[in-house]
Amino acid sequence: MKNKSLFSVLVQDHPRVMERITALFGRRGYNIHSITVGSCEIPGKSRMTIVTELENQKVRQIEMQLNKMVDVLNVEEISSQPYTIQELAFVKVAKTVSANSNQSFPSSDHVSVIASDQQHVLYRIIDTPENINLRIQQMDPQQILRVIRTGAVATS
Amino acid sequence: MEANHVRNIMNPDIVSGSEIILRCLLLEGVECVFGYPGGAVLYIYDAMVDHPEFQHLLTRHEQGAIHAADGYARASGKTGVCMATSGPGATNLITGIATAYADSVPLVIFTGNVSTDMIGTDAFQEADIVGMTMPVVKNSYFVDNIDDLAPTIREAFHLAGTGRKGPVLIDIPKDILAAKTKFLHPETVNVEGYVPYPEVNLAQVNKLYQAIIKSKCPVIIAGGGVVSSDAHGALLHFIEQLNIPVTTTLMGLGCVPDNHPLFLGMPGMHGTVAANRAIHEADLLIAIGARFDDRVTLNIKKFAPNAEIAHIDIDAAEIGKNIHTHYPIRGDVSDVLNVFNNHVGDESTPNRKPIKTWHQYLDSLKEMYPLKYRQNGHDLKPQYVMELIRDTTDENTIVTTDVGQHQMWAAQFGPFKKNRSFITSGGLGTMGFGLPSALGAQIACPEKMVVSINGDGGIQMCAQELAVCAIHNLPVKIVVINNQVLGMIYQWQNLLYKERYSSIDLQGKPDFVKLAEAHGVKGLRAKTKEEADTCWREALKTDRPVLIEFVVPKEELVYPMIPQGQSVKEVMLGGDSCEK
Repeated sequence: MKNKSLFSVLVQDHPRVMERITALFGRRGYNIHSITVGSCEIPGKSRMTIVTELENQKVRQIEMQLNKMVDVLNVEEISSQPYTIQELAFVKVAKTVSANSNQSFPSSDHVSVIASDQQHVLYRIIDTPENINLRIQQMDPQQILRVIRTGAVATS
Repeated sequence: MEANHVRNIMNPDIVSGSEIILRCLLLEGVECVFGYPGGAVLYIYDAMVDHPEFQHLLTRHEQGAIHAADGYARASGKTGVCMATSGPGATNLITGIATAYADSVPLVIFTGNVSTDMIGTDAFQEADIVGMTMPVVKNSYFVDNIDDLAPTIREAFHLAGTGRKGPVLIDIPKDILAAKTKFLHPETVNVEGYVPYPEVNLAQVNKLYQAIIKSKCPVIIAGGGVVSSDAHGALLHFIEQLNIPVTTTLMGLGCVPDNHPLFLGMPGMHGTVAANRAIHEADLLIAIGARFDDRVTLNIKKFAPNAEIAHIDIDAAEIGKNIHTHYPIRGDVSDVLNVFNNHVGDESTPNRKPIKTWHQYLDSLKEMYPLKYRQNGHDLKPQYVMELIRDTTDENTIVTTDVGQHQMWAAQFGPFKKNRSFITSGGLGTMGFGLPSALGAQIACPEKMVVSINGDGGIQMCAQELAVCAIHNLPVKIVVINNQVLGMIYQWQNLLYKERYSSIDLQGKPDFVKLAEAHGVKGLRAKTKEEADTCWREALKTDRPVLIEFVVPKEELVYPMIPQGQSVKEVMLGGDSCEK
């Protein structure tokens, strides 16, 4: 039985750290749903959020394997505790004249229009990855021209 | 090194990157570097001219260099050092790096690369060796700033040789080797977040101790971690105090004397019946520095079905990786066993009473199913050669092997009484390892006899290193068990692929005696038992490198055998072909 697993990983801001980490998942046969990385509160370090799907008994194993890497300073498996998760998506939607299709996202705090011209609207959605999926699914797929997602950031 | 010399090379002179490397190596106490020059590392080789105290051993292939460094490290317990140029020089090292990684051997590997301004341009002999080796190194560095060079080398040696040991690669562009800076050797090294030797958790030790006291049928699997941690003395004390039978994996052979009454032999695919049945029937299985490799566990679902599992390992990621563990103890094997041994010696702790029936049962299995083979007439059998080597060499002898049938026969019949006396590619199973690792071991231990046992297949993968043995007069006894086929492939095709033989025939070529002599190595050939005795006696008297070809029948198979994915119940004993 696979469950979504979230890892928050503090790493050295060294060249190719991302490559080392993604290669670790790859060679152990685990698929990464999303991975984000950016600078953090400590100079010279970065924090990554890795979203993956693992069988329960593999979660601890991958945590240990990550911890073993020299460039990895701390690994937190955050999906087993209360956590906050958000992702940013840009969705470019075509304007149509059809009355039957959902031309726009229902109004919400999570959705805003950031650009628009005569043919397109560019939406920004900030929400959980699942909610972004839902919002996009509710739209007419014919109208969606492009979806660009950042991958999730999460914290316990 | 003389004190004056150390002071001189410690001087904060303005020196080149190449000079920094040599100074750092000398300060790390490196006795010998195994390598092969090329365009990108010429500055290092040029700097060597000014350091006659620096030993560099030129092999005939980079693969030979890295296996030699590996053999050196395994025999000595020190970190082996290897050097190669960019591109093909570096890529030729990869098999050797993976070999060392699989068996947790400490190596520091230097590769040159094209100049920083050429990186990424697909320049001549450019290869992304850092990227290519990422899955098989403990860590790796690309040094593009000369001021990082000395600290990086210091850190690399620290990482390679501590904790769970392993290969560390340093890739250096050519211009950094030529650039100059002030030489500052870091006195200390601190890798943030890296804890090589965690403190032993006493509560966990105590829990396991209670389980041992309660256990009626305990057994230990001792692995390469015991060898690597030089914990053989502590292990012996432990098993004798607690009276626990012990089996050692291929990587652990030698950490318990093979004539010890508690020793059951090797477990797994070609292990003894006693070892495998002990594991199958144990109520407590204590793995010490062993990682439940599939060649040991076979069908892991049927492995040790009645046992609670205890696992002592330096690497937290190994504990629970392949099998559920009831008693996990993370720590250096020596540290953990020493804690145990102090604990056990304590009068407040009850001593474990030997479980007579368990020991009697295992002893009866040892007696009923000894390792054996059928000796018909004057035929020379490979197992006989192993016995001959065992019976004529002392306990200080180091045996290296290649990979295949001869490796298993060596493991089964070999003379292993001391730690670090058996050197073999266990995890990766690298053919070509046997000869170069032996020359590395001989350099590490010039006073010891080194016997390199090979098949007629594997010896041809690094046979070019015969020249190195001859030139440096490394008196390795190079054994070639010639059965004219790729023996282990023959065995699998025979037993598991319905005798459909495919691409196994090595018959006739080359003439190994001539091959040896062409390289300046003495060559001998034996086709019968009597010739084997004579040739081996002559080889033992020879104080220069000697190759002895033992021509044996191809039909001989390694028994016992439990095929992959099966359990101890499916053991093949070889029927009457196994009667001695």
